[in-house]
Amino acid sequence: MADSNSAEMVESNRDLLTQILLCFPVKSLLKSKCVFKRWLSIISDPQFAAKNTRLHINIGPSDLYFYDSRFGVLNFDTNQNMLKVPSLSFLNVSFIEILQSSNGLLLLLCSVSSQYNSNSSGFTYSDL
Amino acid sequence: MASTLKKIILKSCDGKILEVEEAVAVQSQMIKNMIEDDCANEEIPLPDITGEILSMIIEYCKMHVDGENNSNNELIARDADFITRVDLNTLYYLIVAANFLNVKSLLDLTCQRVADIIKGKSPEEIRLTFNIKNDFTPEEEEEIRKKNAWAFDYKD
Repeated sequence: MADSNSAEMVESNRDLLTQILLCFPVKSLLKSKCVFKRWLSIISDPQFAAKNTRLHINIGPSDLYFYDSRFGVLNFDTNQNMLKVPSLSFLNVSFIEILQSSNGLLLLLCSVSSQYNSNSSGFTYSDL
Repeated sequence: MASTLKKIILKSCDGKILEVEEAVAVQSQMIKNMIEDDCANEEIPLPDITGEILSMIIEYCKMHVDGENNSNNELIARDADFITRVDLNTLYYLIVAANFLNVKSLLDLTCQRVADIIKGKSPEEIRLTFNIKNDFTPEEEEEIRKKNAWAFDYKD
């Protein structure tokens, strides 16, 4: 792998390390939290999270994660025009379309003509 | 007419002298500032950049100057071809040099390449990539893994 000198020159420079971490996909970023304490401190910084969100704003949702529940992870079809939710049966509706998502919130259109704003990590929703 | 073009002279830390056309050299914001401040008339010493890395950076800048009229897709393809030929050590040296010389597009390209390399790797593999030693206790690491189980359980 990398020789100690070249890797250390990059890794020990907080600005450079931050810039590299900002390019990481989200799962790599979460894994990186337990790589090194300094990495955890950079990734946990709210400013870092805000920058990361701005940089990756156009990628759309990739899947829906239900924290501590029987649903686990639902993968979406990542084609922007064809977003489908495999199962949201707890909402008791027959048809669901994802209209928009932002910072972990999903805006859903349901067949009962109601709109739900669902927090994908906290698993709460409200009728708009 | 080529001989009338202004040349910038760069000197690497291992003593290699490179003459670069001004249009190529100003891809570096640092050198551009020096030219504007009239500080680039003599050779510019670059203390932390080897001749090998400097040649690669000049190749990259030249590619972008020559490709100014090419389509965006062509430039992206050339960037990809350039960066995938680079090994990990060279990549790190390029990042440090691109940062020092302030060549933003190259810094973006090299940082993104690191992200592409670590995609799908475990924390231990990421540590190896950066040659760092784990400084968490097993308990602390387990706690972080639990909180982010989603990222560990499913593939990228």
